[in-house]
Amino acid sequence: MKIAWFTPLAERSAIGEFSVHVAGELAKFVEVELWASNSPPLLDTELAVVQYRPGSTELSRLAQYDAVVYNMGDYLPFHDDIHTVSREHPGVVILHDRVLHHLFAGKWLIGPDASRELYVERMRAYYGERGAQAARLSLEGERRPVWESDEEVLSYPLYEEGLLDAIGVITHSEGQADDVRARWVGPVRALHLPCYSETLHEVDGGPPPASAGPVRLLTVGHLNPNKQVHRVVEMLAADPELSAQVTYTIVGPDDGFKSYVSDLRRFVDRHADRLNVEILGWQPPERLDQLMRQADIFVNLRHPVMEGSSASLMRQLAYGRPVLCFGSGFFGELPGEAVVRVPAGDFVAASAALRELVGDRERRLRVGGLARTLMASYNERLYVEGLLELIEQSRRAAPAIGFLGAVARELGNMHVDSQLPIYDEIANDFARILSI
Amino acid sequence: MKVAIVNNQAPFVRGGAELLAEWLHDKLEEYGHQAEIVRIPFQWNPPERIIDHMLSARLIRLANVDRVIAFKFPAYYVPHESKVLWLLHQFRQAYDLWGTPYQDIPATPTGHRIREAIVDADRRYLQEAKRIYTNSKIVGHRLNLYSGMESEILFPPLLDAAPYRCEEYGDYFFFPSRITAGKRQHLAAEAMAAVASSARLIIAGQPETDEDLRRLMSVIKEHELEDRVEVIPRWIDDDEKLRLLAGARGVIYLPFGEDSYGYVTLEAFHARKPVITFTDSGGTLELIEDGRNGYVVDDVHDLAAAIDRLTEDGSLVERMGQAALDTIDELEISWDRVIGCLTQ
Amino acid sequence: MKVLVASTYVPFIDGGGRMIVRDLVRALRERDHEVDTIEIPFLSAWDTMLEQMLAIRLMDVSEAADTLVAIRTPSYLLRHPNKRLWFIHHHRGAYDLWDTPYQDIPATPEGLATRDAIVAADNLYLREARRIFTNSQIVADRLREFNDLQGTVLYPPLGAPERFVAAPAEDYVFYPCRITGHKRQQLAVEAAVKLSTDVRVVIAGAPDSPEQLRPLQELIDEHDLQDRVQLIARWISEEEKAELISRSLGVLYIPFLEDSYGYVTLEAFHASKPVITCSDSGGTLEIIEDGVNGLITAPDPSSLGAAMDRLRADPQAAAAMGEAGHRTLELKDISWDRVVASLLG
Repeated sequence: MKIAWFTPLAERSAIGEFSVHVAGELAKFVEVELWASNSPPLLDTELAVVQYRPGSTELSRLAQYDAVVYNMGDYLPFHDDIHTVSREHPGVVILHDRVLHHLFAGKWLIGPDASRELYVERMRAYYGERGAQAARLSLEGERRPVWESDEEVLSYPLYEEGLLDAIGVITHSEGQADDVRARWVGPVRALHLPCYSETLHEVDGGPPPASAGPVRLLTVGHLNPNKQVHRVVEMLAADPELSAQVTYTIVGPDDGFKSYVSDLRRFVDRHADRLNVEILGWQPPERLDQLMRQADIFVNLRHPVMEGSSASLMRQLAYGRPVLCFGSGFFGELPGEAVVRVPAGDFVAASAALRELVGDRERRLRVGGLARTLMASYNERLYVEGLLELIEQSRRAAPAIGFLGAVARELGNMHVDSQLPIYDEIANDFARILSI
Repeated sequence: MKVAIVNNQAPFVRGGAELLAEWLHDKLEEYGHQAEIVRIPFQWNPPERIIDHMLSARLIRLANVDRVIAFKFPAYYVPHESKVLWLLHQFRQAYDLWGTPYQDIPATPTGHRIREAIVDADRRYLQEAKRIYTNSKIVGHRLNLYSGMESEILFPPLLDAAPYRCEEYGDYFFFPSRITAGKRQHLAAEAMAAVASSARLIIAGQPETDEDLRRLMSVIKEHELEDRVEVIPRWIDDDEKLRLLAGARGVIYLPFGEDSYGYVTLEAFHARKPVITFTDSGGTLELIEDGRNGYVVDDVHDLAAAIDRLTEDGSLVERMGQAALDTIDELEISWDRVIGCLTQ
Repeated sequence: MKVLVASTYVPFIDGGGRMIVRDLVRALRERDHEVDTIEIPFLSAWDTMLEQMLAIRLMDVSEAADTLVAIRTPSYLLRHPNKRLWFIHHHRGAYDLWDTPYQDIPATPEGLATRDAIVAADNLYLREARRIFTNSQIVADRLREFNDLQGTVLYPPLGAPERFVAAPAEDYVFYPCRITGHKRQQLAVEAAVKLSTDVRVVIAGAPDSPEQLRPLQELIDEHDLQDRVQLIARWISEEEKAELISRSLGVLYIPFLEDSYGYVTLEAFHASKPVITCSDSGGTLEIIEDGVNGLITAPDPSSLGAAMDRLRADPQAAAAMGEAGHRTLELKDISWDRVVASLLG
């Protein structure tokens, strides 16, 4: 079997990183070529890489592959081309994010072919009049644009557009898989995002160095409101007893949300008397590894969860440290004993859980150990096996999906209202021969 | 070139479109092409079926064909990369007949949905054609009005115009057509009552119903026109028709609101005869220019006057007959042009 | 009675399916039925077949006639309350030709799913027919094997048999057929190399492509068979064909594994000529009996050559077998009267 694997391969792409590891494992079973359209420098990989541009003649070769896999994420510069090709050559889509709203809003609203009507029409097609209304008001500046609000984009995720010519879908959480199944007809499968064996290997998962000092809390990643760091800091400021027992380190690029970050810094400075908080910004890998190694607890209170899953979470778990998280998205699907989970958005519960963890080193070690063991089982091999099964299942379903897609496309073009009996006629009569 | 003529099919029914398809088929072969008629069944009752047939046409694959020539809704939706339309008509029930007694599709919510689907599908899929020709101005006009599409007119010629001839401008006017209320032979008879000259009228054609014939005969009887109006109430064969045309002074053709110009007009023109028609006859007006190659009149009274004028002025008849023949060339009604356009 | 004869076809290709439609329409009209045809263009490309099948299913002709007779697959998808089937073959690439070089659907997951859908459609919609007839025993057997359906064999007669008449035999055997691989004209030429009598072989038919013709020509040149083998590599008219059959010693029909006995066989029998066929030719074996109305040989050049020699060596025996062939037509009741009565009965 020969697989074409579309992915961003830019050095800072987490999905590129994923591709290098997973496609690398896949190549042990089948022939794999990576297809990338971004300009160098590219991530290091031993796999063959085909550089393409949308519309280039190279793409006609895809007909010779047994399957095409598209890695779809919400970042326009990385995924625009991938989506474009996916419309021409049906394949399996790996949904890395829960929403693709920014990808498509960007595609439709920016650039020479921008079409506001298209955005409104698609919002209507997927979410009815409510969606069209939200799109229109956003465009007219009559409301906060949908694409600027995490809660809103979750209501209008637009990932449906990414699946128009899919023959199968992989998600990284069961919840998202169920969501897709309710809106899309073909085979869908949830696979755990793997913890890369390389990560497992290079990360020291042993217990943190014993220390009599304060318990070290750490949050890693782009500093933005979604990580709820400000709420954690407020929580500590409001609880001097807890605050006195901990240090809280925040690491990661802090140049994205400038006013948010400066507000945060101001708050920390204002409460310097009772807070032991450092905002370090971006740090080189060696330093980051050191910080993570020294940490006792990872605080990872994302809300809402936009990603399908998170490689950085897997990395934190690989360090064998307890991760404090909310129960939303894929966090909610991790085995309960391997993380410390509280209801989404509940900072009272988060505070209580943190206090308990801070006071119980044994528990920290136990949960961390389980986390490390869990990561050893979430390996690339497991993922690849699931992927190959899904590919086989999808290829079996492809003729039926192609058929239904062609019929739906024609009826859609004719604006045949779904209330006309033809839909039922086809479903009751002809679709009986298709085993989906 | 392998040409597929794509037409609708109502099983067991043959009409003008079937005839045109056959003529076109024969002519294409005569011009050195390979031609085949593809008939796609269309059933429009109950109206929900229309959608089925529209989708069906979209899903058909016409392989091993270089050119598709499509005539009608919904067969013209058939996908092909080299498709031209010789449009006879769209589905008029959704357009100009909507809101008339001929609407057929009920004005229920479902009916509205079906109608909108037809309108939208036309707007979308007719664009796939490389070119669109229509068989009359009115069809082209409607296409532009309802679907926003440009088209070019391509009048269908007679299969074989060679046998049409003019032997003399005799003393009778000829009205060849199926005898039916819509063709209004009875008004032609009525006009004869007001004719002052010695002109006679010959009406020939199969009555559609007994009632149609009775209506006509009672007009004749009422005005005591038995000597001046002759009715041949049956199909006449080609020879008889050619002979009656060859000796006629002129032709009368009075259909109500027809789409196409009607072969009667064209046959008369080939036989170098002027044609008298009504202002509400529809397609005939695309060929007949009042006072040049015939007369376009408002009512029975004017019809009688036109008959008199042509009867009394021999040189006028000859001039108008020649103009009628010239009209065919001016409008380029020929198979050369038809085959050229449709295969280019 | 109003009868619709439905079938599928590829435009501009005059396959056996179209011939049977034409012949049946004429036979029905001759018996005073009102007939129209529904002939639907159909491309047997596996990756668009499902859509095309739906196209047929969506056509509503259910009220257009008293009876619908469906012929070529998958025209039986048309809905009609009184549907009859004269089934001439499955989409064989999905059935008996699967796992042979003629399998026309790839054995990929996509192909397998498509094959399953085709079989499912057959299983579902063939059963809508009130009666099922087949054009041969082999097709009836397949219906039973693959779809668990009973079909009655109804052999298709010739459309215009009157032109096939007997004339005194000359010195040749005649193979009239489109020149293409599985009709094995090549085997006939190879057999000509092995002949021991002076019998000649006349082969006539349009080549499917120049590639089909070249090896025959090369073989003739290589073995200097110009006097032995006459190759008329073009379409010949029905009259020309009838003429060549009537003056022949016998007729050759040696396709590889065909469903039907072939019109050629019937034409020969109408002209009272024996038919030579091969043991792996398929449908011919349903009506040809070795040594009775023709000869059945192993599909190798020597055996086939021996059979041709035999006709030449004993023309009386050949003529007697030809007579027996003519009687076969009556014995098997291969006639339009029977076809029409069965289909409409």
